[in-house]
Amino acid sequence: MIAKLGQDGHDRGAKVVASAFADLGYDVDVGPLFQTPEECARQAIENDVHAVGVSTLAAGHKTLVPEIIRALREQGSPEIIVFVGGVVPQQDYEFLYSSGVKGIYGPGTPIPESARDVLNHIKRACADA
Amino acid sequence: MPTLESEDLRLIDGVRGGDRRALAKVITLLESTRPEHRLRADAVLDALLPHAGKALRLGISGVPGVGKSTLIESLGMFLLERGHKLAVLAVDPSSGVSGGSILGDKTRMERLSVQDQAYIRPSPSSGTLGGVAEKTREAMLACEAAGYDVVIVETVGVGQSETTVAGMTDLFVLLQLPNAGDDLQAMKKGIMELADLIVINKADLDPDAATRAEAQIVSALRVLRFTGAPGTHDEQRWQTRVMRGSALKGDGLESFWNNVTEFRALRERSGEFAERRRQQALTWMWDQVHARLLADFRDSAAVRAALPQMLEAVTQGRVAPSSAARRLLDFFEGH
Repeated sequence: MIAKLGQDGHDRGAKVVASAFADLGYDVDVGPLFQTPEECARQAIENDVHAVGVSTLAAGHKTLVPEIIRALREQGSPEIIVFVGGVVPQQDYEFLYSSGVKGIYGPGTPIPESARDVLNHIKRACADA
Repeated sequence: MPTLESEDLRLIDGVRGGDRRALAKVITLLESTRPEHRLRADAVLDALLPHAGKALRLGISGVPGVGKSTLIESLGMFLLERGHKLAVLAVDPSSGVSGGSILGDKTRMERLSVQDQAYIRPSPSSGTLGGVAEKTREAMLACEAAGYDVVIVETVGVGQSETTVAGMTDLFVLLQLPNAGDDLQAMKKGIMELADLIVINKADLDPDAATRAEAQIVSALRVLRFTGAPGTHDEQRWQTRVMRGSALKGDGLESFWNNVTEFRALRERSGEFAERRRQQALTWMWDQVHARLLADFRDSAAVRAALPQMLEAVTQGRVAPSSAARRLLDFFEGH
């Protein structure tokens, strides 16, 4: 699932990534704009996705990304993997990883690379389950 | 009879208890194509079946952009206000090239998708033609077992002949645009003749065109179904109705639901409601036989061994496709 959280209406990147992942064989759920972390978690669980990719371009990542991880846990699905794409300053990467984010794909990341990385994380998570 | 694993028993209890996560997991299991999942899925479905069947099943179809998701958003909120519990199975197309898909129906259901009494599940069509996914019927039963009393199946945007959804629902609704052609279009066989209720959506954009479209479709239905002729009118039988509305504005929801309720009452009284479901169960069984045969064929070691050579021979024009097919089937049957 590709998600846009909070007051961040820039969804071009989310659409490009969603379309490209579908081209590589993923089934991609698209979330609406301006979702709250709780709504996003609910949709991810209801659609039974393996992973949520949060597209963030408006600097909300330090607040919203930990909240989606918490919301997933609170709603009973901590196994759903969270990724982040978009504009994230380098100095925030460690913070996001320590919050539980599995991958961060900044501007210029080749899509096949991120798609492979996501797939490897999903495979690992499935093997653990 | 396959036996249930403890994990699956937990899932079944979850579904029965209204846990949306369990329902989501069960639908994924039903959709899975892995052989070991198929066995588990059959067992889970058998366990859920006694609790299914009580919901009203609505199929909603129409061309891309006609307003299927938007109608479900408005209708869903309308139904929730009246105390119903609603499950929506929304199908979007899979790529024939990559197998991937973009599932975006929920973005049109922003209000409905956060309601406690609603469950919305998008699914990719995964190569199944006809506008629905292979496992939509199974998913429908799981939703019913979870206590949803109205289940809506939203097809992919369809053309003139994708009618599978009519064969798995109690009432088939076709959405039309106000300016989608004349009465000859409406007379074409296929999807039109299966619709139980036709809604001219987006009537607010051009009320005159919507009125004309309604008249043309009503007129075409008389040709298609021989309805409306003197002496054929029967108050006790449902005859396909045409109405105008605006899903976005919420116009016509009341009369839409009145039509649905009346349809159900008439069909239940005449016994056609139950008969349609019995026929659907048989069709479903045969569909499953076809699907399973095809899967077994693809999995057969003999076929797999012969396949590469046969593909090459056909693409190079050395063997006719029909005789290649026969030889592959011979391998499958073990000749």
